[in-house]
Amino acid sequence: MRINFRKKYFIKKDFQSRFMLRFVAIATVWATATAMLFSYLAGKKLDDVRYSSHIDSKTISELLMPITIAAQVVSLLIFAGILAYTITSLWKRLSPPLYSLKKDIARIAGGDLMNEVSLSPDEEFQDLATDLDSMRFGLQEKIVRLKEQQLLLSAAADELSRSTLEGKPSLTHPASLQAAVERMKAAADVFHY
Amino acid sequence: MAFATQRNYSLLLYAKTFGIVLVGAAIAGWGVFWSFPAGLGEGYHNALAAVQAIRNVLFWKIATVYAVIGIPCITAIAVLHLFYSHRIAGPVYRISLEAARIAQGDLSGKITFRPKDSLADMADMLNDVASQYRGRIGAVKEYLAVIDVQSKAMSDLQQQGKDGAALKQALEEITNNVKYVERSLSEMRT
Repeated sequence: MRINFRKKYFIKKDFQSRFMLRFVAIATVWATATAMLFSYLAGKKLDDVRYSSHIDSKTISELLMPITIAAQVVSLLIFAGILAYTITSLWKRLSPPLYSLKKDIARIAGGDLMNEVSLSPDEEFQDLATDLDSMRFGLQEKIVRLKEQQLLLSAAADELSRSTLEGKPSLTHPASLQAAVERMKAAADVFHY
Repeated sequence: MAFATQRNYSLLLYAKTFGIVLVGAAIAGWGVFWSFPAGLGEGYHNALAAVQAIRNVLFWKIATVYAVIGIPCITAIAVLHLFYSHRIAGPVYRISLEAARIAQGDLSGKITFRPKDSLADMADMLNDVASQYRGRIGAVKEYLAVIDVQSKAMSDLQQQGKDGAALKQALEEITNNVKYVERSLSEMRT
């Protein structure tokens, strides 16, 4: 099976930068805080040893290992909590605009081209909302043109009907109907699939 | 209100981020011990001197070790989140492209995603938009083709000098098909 690798990974720079920055920031804060906590606790321990009358420890491990483990465990537990909160809050930020856009897409699929696709200014995926609204507007424009041609077609059909029922059929009426059909076909041909 | 993502996306993101930090913490802890002499020396005075020497450089050694270990860890976290954010940003980009195609009148609706991509449900919905409008426009085109044939037939009947029932029947068919066109278009509210 051929694996299709993407060539470009940094595709929505603004969104991806903000996504990455949250986690880079908490990892940086974690590293700094752990170093400071470790340094503070180890320094305190060494100061205690310096001012004591006897030194029981023979190695640096004996002296500092409990402090190291305590500092790492505490900082990792705090990091785990902050990471969970960050991911949850990120999801809470991403879900509502996507849910709203899905509802708008379903509405467009149902035939409603009147209402704009938009999000609150502070929500994510503004670009996507703009593109979906352009899609709605593009469809609306084409359908409006088609409806205008349909009105002309209906008028031509009514004229043909009236003249035939009045017993005054004319060759110009089927011809004008055919012309209306051709114009409407041209309007419909902007859609392709 | 969640959006469709790879199964356990956020759990995997959590576990991998925490994994990187855990490995970093372990290496940094080991690095601090590695940077100091293992033993404190024999006797009280030697041990005190060793403790004093460690105390003097403690902060900078710890800061250096955490900086040296922290930078690759943070880089790894940045790369991991670049990939994970791309699993949302990539599909969003593809959906935008597909929306632009639909706006141009391309109703082929062939958007497909990789199994690990998010927003597959939104892609399906966009394919549904293309499919729905394809159906409606397709119906209009079919009715127009029929009306075209019928109007030509009516023109032929008139040229042949026919009137009465044949003309009325042809007219009725045309009228009905024009109504079908109107009905198909009225399903799309503009």
